[in-house]
Amino acid sequence: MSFWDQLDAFGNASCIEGEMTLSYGDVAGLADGIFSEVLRENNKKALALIVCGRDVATLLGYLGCLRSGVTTIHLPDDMSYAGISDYITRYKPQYLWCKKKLYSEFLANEKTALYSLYDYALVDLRFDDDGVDGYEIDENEISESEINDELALLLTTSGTTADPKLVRLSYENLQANADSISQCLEISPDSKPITLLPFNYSFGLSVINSHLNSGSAIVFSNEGLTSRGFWDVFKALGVTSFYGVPYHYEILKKFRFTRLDFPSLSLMAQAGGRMPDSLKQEFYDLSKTKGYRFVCMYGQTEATARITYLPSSRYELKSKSVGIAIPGGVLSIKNPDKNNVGEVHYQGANVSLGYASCTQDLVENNVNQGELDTGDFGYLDADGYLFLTGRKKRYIKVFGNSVNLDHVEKIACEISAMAAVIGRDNEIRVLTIDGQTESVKAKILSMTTIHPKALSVVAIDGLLYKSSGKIDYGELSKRYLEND
Amino acid sequence: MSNREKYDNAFIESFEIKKEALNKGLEYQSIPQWDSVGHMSLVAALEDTFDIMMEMDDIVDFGSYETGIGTLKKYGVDVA
Repeated sequence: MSFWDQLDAFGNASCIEGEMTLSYGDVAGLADGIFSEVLRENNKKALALIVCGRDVATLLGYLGCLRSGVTTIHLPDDMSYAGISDYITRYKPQYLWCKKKLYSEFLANEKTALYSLYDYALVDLRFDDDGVDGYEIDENEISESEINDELALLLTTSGTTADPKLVRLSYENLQANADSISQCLEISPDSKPITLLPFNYSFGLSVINSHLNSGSAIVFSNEGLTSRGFWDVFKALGVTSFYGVPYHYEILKKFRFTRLDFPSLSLMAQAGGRMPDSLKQEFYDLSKTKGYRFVCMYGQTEATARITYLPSSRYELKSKSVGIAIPGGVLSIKNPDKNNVGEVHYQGANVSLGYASCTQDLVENNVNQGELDTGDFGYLDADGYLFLTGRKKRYIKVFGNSVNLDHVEKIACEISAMAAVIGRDNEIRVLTIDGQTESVKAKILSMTTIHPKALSVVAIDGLLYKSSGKIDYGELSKRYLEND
Repeated sequence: MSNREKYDNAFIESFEIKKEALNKGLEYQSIPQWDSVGHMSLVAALEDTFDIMMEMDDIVDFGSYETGIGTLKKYGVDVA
């Protein structure tokens, strides 16, 4: 049975937020309440958009959808209204579940909420009886009944740049990921994570799913690592499991975390990008001293967040590896060169159905069929441990968020016809040849949620090209990024 | 440069804001730039400027332009 349908089996497990404690039984009841009225009327499939916090209300909206067969799109709550509007126009969701504040500002209270709970509201985005227009339904519109039965959830590959492309995840994907992660991280009813990572981010959602799957207590908090509130809750409620991206570990290092004591902590896990070896070593050493596990993982949204994990007990032998395939997954290397390096291929029940870029794509079947070309390069050692050496796709990580450099370049080119974007983790550099550096920067910042600290725009004399006529990003990086 | 000027510069450069924005109302999360990323770069700037190492408790409690002055005092830096 799926983790969303079996909540009652762990009736006494709890979800905690501030002063509020809900049992899994309460959670099931409240989640069902959100869509019960509206779906009773239509009794058909629907699409909902959830603007995700890291709170219980977001969980209830998400579980409400899963339990009633409503397909959802998860978006980050720091996305601009223009960004959210783009997704609405493109995918035409019928329902919106978001903070009341966002709903009243964004929709200017034109529509009445169908349902509200805590500080969230459910809104019907289509025409209503008062004659207030939602969006027009055009001839190319698909009807809800055509949404693929397997399709549970759509996640962005890069929430930061509002790239309209979404990854299509199935009900089976979500359960497969929850099962394998529960198993390899030995998640139990005694585990107690805190929601540091948002639910629109596949790694963050995987943390929630795998703990719901195991009947763990989950602590919900919208606070960040640099907030007093986060650490007060962490200590007071005895959080056992810390899940973070490399940037979070950088902050912990800055806190001189090694000198601090969190007696309840029993697991620190990392995913969401390459963590510098020295930083990994520091946190591994700490875990040995304090007697808990430190687990590094590698994955992609296309594989419902996780592909490999490096068990704590193997760290010393394989510290430069991202680990072995998660339970149920198979790794292979495509077209290996003489050093056995090639493109990493993954096979498993957690491989997404495919991508979507418009409403018609929601009808599509499973095009991946459990097979994923990751776009990353690497090799496998004799024990099946994966070592990554590079990547094909132009993605970097900025403070934990994936950024597609091609998408940033597209935005830059709207202002400056000749622009190229290069970057490495936490550093995006836009090269332009017509000197419009200020307006290019302003445009990118207005269209994305890229942190200004990570973005620089530089005027150069000319771009560099390969003999094929394509921009030579490698050479540009050497010249304008790596020699700083 | 006085300590006050150094202190102000840390905010101006970390958040890319103007001097006029430095007032009582400038708090953690009161402007988009003062998020967790901005917070950590402000802390790094202050530590570099005054050659100090702040404790975690003081980093997470560093809640505003105004109260930060008191925090730095603990490290022997007199801004006021």
